[in-house]
Amino acid sequence: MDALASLAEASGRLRTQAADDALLRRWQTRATVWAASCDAAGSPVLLDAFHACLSHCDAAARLLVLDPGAEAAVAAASSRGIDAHVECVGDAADARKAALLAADALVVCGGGAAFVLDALAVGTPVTGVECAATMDAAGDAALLWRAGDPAAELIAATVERLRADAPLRARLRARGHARISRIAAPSESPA
Amino acid sequence: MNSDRNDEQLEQVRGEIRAAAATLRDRPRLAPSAPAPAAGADGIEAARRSYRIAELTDPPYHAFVEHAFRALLKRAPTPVEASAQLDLLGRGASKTEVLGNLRWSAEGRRVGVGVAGLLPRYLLAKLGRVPLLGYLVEGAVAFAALPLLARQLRAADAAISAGDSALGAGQKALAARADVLNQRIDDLRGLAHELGLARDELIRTLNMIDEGLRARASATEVALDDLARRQHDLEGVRRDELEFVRRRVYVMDRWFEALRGALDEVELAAGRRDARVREFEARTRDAITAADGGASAARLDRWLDALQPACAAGARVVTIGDDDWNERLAARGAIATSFAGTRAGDGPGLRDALAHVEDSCLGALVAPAFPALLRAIPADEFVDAATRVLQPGGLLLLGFAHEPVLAAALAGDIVPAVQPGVLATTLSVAGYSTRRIDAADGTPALLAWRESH
Amino acid sequence: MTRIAIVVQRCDESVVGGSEALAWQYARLLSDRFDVEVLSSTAIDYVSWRDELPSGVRLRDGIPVRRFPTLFERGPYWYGLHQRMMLEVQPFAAPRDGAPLAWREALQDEYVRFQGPCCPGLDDWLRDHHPDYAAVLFCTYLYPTTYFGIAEVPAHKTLFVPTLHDEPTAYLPAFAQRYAAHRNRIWLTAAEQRTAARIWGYDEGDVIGMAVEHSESAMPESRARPYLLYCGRIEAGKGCDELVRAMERVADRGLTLVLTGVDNMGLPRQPWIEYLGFVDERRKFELMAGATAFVLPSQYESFSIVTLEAMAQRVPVLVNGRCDVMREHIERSGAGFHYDGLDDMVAKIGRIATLDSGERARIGAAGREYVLANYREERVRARLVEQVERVIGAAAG
Repeated sequence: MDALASLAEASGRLRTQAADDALLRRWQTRATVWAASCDAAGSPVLLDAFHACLSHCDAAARLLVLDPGAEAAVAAASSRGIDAHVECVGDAADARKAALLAADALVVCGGGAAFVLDALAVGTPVTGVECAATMDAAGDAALLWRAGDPAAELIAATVERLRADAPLRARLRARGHARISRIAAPSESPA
Repeated sequence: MNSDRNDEQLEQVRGEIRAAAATLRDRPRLAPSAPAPAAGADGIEAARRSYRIAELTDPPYHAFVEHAFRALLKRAPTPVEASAQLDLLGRGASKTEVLGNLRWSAEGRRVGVGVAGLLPRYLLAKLGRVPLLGYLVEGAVAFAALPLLARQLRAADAAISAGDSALGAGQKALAARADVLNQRIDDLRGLAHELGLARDELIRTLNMIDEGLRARASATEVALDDLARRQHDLEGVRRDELEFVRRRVYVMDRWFEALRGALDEVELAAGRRDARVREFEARTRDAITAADGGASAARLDRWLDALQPACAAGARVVTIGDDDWNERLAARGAIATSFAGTRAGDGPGLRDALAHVEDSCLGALVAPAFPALLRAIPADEFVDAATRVLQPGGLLLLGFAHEPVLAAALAGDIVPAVQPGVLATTLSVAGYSTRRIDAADGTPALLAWRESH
Repeated sequence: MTRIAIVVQRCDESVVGGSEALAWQYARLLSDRFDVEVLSSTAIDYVSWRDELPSGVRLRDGIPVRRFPTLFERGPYWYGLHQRMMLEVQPFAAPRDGAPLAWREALQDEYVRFQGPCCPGLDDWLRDHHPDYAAVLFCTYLYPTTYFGIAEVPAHKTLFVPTLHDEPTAYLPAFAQRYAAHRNRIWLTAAEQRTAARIWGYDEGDVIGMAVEHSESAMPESRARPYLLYCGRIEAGKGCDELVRAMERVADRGLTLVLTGVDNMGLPRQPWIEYLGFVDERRKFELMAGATAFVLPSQYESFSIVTLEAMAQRVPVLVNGRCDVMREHIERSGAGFHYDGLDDMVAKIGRIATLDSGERARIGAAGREYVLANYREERVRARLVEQVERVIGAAAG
C-alpha cells in the first residue's frame, strides 16, 4: 500500500471516530468558519485571505488552524490585529475532526496531504492554493488556485461561494467521497 | 460525459469566483467584531509632493511605516509589506534606510515624492552595508557625530528620568489602586464568610427537608406495604372465589359426563332389545312357516298366478317383507326387489325405500302380510305411495298371511286387526278395483288395480 | 430470474418495526418474480444497533439475507448531537435572515452515521457489486444504510421508499440533498408525498402503500369490561404518555386500556390499565376484533399497518390528527376519529364509548372496506412489480 492509500485509510477511520464535542459546540456557529492548513510560505497567503474574509465578507469569521506548529501563524495574526479570530486546533484527532465538522471549508496553503484527505473523508469542501501534495491528495475534488493567482481574494471569495452554493458543495462532497474510495483499500465485506 | 459536464460546471464556477474576487475589494467593508489592525492616523495627502525627513521619521514604529507608505507611495501598506519593513527595523536598520527603500523602489520612483536631504543620508546608510568600508564609514560618521550623540544621550537620559518619574507616579497610582482592590478583596472575603454561614444554614434547612422527605417516604413505604398486603388479601379472596367457581364448574362437568354415559347405556339397551325382538320374530316366523306343511308355498303360487299379467319378463316387482317370494318371481322373469322393515320402529326405513322408487315404474307391488306392514306405515300413506309407483295397469297384491302377524304378536308388538273387506273399501275410495284371491289354505288376499284412463 | 436487492437497516424474524416489516413484505411479494436479496445490518436492537447477528448470508423463508457488521453502538456523543439538532434544525428554528445553518453537511453526515447502524461494509458492497443487481430498493430515509448506501448506486437503478414523516430529523437539509437525484420513489400514502413536497421540496414517485396480510375476521375477544386497545412499542415518543393521561380522565367511564408490545416507558400501575406484553398474531387480531376502539396516539407515523389491521377487524380507530398520514386514513375511510390535543382525545374517547351498535357496525364496515379496496396483497404486489420492472427497463434502456 502506498503512502497516500495509507493516509486515506487513516482518514476513513477518522470518519468513524467521535469528534471532541466540547470543541464542536464552541466552533459550530452560523458565522463563517475556516479550517486551515499552511506551511511557512503559505502562512501569509492564508492570513491575507482570511483578513480579506474578515474585511469584506464576515466580520465574525473564525480561523481554525490545524497544523501542529500553528503558533507562528497565530503570532503573525496577532501582528495584524486579527488574533482574536484565530485559534490553534492542536494535535488531537477528535479536535481536528471537530474543526472540520464545524468549518465551511478546509483552506490549504501548502502543507501535507493528510488534512486534505481527512476533509474529503468527513465531507468538508476543500479550497486553497495548488501545490503538489495537495493536488495528489485532492485530485478533482477541491477548488484550488494557482500560486500565481491573487490568491487571498480568490480564496475568500471561494469560501463565500461555498457557503452560499449548496449544489456546488454537494458536487465537491460527492467527488471527495469517490476520491477517498478510490485511494483507500476497500474494507472487508462478508461476501 | 457526466464528468465532462461537471468539469465544465466547475470551470464556470471558477470564473464566477474570479469575478467575485475582483469585486471583493470594492465591497463595503464589514466592521470586524474584534479589534481591527491599527491604522495610521494621517490620511493620504495625494497632492503633496515633498516632505521633510523629520516629518517622516518622527512617528514611532507601526505609525512610522504606515505614514511612510502613505507619504511616499500614496497608499496604505499591505500587512505583508508592513511586516517586512517592521522586520527590517527590528534588525537594526535606520528609519532613513526604510524611507530610502520605499522612495527609490520602482513604485516610489513612479510616484516621485521629494524628501529634502534624504538621498545623501540613504546613500550613507547603504554605504554602511558594504563590508569593511561600511564599518569604516559608519565609524567615521559616528565620530563626527559624537557631540550630537552626546546630546541625544543626555536627552535620552532626561527622557528616561522623566519616564522613571512617570513610572514612579504610575506605581504610586497602582499601589493606591491595589489598596482599594485589597479593601474590596477584604469586603469580598467578608461576603464570602456571610455566604458560607448562609450556605450552612441552607444545608441545615435542606437536611431538615431531607429528613422530612425521608420520613414521608418511610410512611409512604409503610402505606404501600399495607396496600400491597391488602391487595394480596384481596387477590387471595378472589383466588378463593375463582377456585370455588372452578370446582363448581368441574362438578357440573362431571355430572354432565355421567349423564351422557347414562344416556349412552339407555340407547345401547334399547338397541339390544330391538335386536333380540327382531331375532325372535324371525325365528318364530320361520318356525310357523315350517310347521304349516307347505301350505304357505301353495299360497304363494296361487298369488303368483294372480299376478301373472303384471309379471311379464323384465317387469319390476317390489315385495314388502318376504324374500322367498322374490325367488319365485325371478323364476317367472320379473325383476324382483324386497323391502324389509315392517316393524313399528322401522317406519322411516320403509317410507324412505318407497320414496326412492321412481314414479310409475312397478308392474306390481306385493305385501304378503299387509297387517304387519301397518306397524310401519299408515294404510292411506301406503296406498298413496303405491298409486305413485305403479305403472298404468300395475297390480297391488295385499295378503293377510298370518305367520308374520303371529310372530310379531308373540314378540310383543301390537298388530292392527284389519279385515280384507275394510281394506277393499279403503282401496276403492282410492280409485282401485279389487278382487279376492284367497289362497287354498284360506289365507285372504286382495288383488287391486286402477282402471287406466 | 432478474436479481434485485432490498436494503433495510434490520432484517430478522425477531425484529418488530414498521419499515423493517415493509421491506420484508416487499421482498416476499417480489420474490415470485425476481431473485431478491436483502442487504442489512447485524443489528437487532434499534436503540443501540449492537452487532448481534452473524454477518454473511443466511436464508430467511428461502430469501437470502446478507448482513454486514455494525461498527459501533450509539453512544452519548450522538445523543449530544441529537439534543442540539432537536433545538436547531426544526422548521421553527430556521434562521430568518437566510443565513446558513450552523449544521454543515459534514456534521449532518456525522449525525446520521453515529445514529447507527453504521455499516461501511454495506457501502463498500454496494459500490463494488451494484452492477450485479438490476435494481436496488432502499427502505427508510433515516438510517445510514440508506443515506450512505444510496450514494454508491447510480440513481437510475435505485427505487427509494422513504417512509417519511414530519419529524425534526427530516428537516436536516442533507437528506433532501442526498435523495433529490433518486427520483424512482414509492410513497406509502398521499399524505407522505405531500409531507415530502413540503419538507424536501420534491414529491415525484407513486403511492403504493403496504399490503395488509391478515384481513380475515377473527373471533372477538370477550372481556368483562369494554376496552381500548393499543398495539406497538409503548413509548412517550409514540404518544403513549398522552394516551395514559387521557385514560386517566375517563377512568370513571368503566373503560380499560389494554396494551400489547414492549413497554419502554414504564406504564403506571392502574386498575384501568392492562398490559399484556407480547401476544401472538392470532390473539392480537382477537383483541382487535373485540375492542371498543383501537387507538394510535403517535404523531410520527408513515403508514401504520397495525391500524389498518385493526380496521380490517371492523373496529373503530382513534388516531392522532397531528399525523397527516393517519388523518388521511380516517378521512378517506370513515373508519373512526382523529383528535387534536389531549382535551379533544378525551372527548373523542367519550364519543366512541357511547356509540350505538348501528354506528359501530357502520364505522367498522367502512374501515374493512377501505382496507380491502386499497391494501389487498395482490393489488400491492402488482403495483410493486410494475414499479420494479419500470426501473429495470429504464436502467437497461
